Amino acid sequence: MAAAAARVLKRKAPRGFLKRLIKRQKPQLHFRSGLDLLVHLNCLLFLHRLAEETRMQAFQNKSKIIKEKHICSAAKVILKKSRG
Amino acid sequence: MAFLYENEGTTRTLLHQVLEMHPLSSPISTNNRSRSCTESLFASSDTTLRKRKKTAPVQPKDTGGTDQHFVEHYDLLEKGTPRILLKKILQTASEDSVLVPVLMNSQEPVPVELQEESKWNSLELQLPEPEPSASLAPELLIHSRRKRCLRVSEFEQEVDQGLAVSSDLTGEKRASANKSSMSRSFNLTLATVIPPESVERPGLARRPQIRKKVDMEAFEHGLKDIPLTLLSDRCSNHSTTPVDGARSFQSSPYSLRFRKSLTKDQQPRATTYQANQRKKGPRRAIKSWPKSPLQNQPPSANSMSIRRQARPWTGRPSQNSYLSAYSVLATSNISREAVAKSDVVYQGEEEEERLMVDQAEESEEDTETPQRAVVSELSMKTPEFLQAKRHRSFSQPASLAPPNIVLLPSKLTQAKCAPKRCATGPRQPRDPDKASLDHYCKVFSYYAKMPVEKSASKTLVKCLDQYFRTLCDDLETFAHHAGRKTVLLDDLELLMRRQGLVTDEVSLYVLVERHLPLEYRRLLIPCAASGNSVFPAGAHKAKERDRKEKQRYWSWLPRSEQAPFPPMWIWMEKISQKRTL
Repeated sequence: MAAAAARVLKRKAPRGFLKRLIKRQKPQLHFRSGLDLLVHLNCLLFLHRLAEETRMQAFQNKSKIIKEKHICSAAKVILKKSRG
Repeated sequence: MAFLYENEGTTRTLLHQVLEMHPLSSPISTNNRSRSCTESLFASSDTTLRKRKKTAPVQPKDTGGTDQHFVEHYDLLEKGTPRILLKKILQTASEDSVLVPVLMNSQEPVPVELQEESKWNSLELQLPEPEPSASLAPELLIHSRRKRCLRVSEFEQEVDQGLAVSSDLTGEKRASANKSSMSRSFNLTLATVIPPESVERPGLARRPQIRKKVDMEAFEHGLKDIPLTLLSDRCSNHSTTPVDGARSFQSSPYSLRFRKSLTKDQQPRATTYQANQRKKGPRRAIKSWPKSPLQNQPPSANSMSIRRQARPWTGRPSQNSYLSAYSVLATSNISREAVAKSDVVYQGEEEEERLMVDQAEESEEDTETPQRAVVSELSMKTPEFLQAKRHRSFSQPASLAPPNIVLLPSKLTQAKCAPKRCATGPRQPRDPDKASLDHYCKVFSYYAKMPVEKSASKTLVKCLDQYFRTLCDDLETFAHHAGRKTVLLDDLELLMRRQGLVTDEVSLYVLVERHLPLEYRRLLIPCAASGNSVFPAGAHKAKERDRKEKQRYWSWLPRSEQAPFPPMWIWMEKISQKRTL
């Protein structure tokens, strides 16, 4: 677990990827330099919430492995929450 | 060819004469000089030389080969450095070539070669000379190691032979000490000269192979994972190039086809059906499931699978998306946990075979160009398809699977052939996407603290796509509401506040500190730095600073005259100076 944590946390935010993604969707938008980091932070938090919800769904279904249906149902809730 | 070999004494004298002449750096001049040298020193007896030689290579062969080499090398002599010359010498090294006395008929090619040889000899001999003058001991230590390394390759052996020959030639007539030193120095110097190239070459020779292997595997891997993001992107960006669509289209068939080649022997049949079915995919996106079009596809697929190998790579991402869609559906349908791609392919094949049984097989052969037109059409239709698929994927993954599987394979096989040729080309654009998506999958699995299925990761990618889309929309709304065209940090903070991540208790910076590594924290959180500056400076702070700068500039003037603005260039200069702090 520690190794996985280290692997996850020491990774860099894919800034180029994020910038490209957003530019593709909204080319008319200009971005500040630090923004993609915050977007990455947002992603991490979103994933965090999604993971929590998915884990709860999996527990409810009494399965030890996360399945697609868990993620789907969890995503519906979390996406609605993250709509802003 | 008759070689003229010099006696020991003549060699030595030749060497001395060469040394006395100009430095090595000018091969041309040395050549001339050596020519004149060798002329004067010419003495030959084949028999004596052969007696001297202890190693017995096939001399005529060597001569013939070396002659040719020397002819080639003659040009090198004109242009190359002594190092290159030595290298060439060693390549063609043979006992004969090492010592070639010269007939000084520059007009004849043979004498020219001989002259070259002799010149090389002189060069060779010349090079070691200055070396021994330096301290031998350290050289010995260093070169002994290199000599050992040199032992490995062929031309090292040749070098050794050459050295042996030279040493034989030189050593016999001289005192043993001289001979040993000469040969040793000779060996050493040659060793010093050669190793870089010899060592470098095997590495260079190996590299391309490694690259090829990585390309295929990484490509496969990338094909599998990326699509979903691109799917959504395709949906949103109709305006973006159709090439993108074509690309993704091609990539997925490519991967599928590749898979098939790995997994099954019935490649042509499977790929053809796949191609046909996938080709029909986008048309089906409109939710008609005619089976007859599929029948038209199989014949084209037969030729397509073969021809597509040669098709140039036009675009991968869209195909990739198809592949991903296909794979997602397939896996969701059959829910395998084995390696995703192979599974996808296998399942696709199963589906296709079933369809094949239902349909009649035709043996038409479509040309590539109509397929390409189809591909472009399909790429345009992909957004619809993707949109439809995406919306439905959340609600009815299972029901969608079979038709989508039918749809996708044809396109996927089509795309498979095309990308194969340019495997290295589009690789870079795709890899970062895949890498970042993988990153997010890993983050998710870490947060969840439970094993995640491979099929689930596809869903995750889709969720992320959806999330990004809403995120961008929200940011745009916020910026527009503020009358700005640029998204600022404030917009993001507002977004997080609305999401419920940032509250009165939890501020944005707390979250930044918690989750982001140190370097990013420094960038995002304004910290006070020395010199009365804040780093990083927010937008509003910058404006304030500029305003204050303006005021300060004119403070030396009486207040009544402070109104006029300083010349722009002065002001900008000062601002930039301040900003670069």
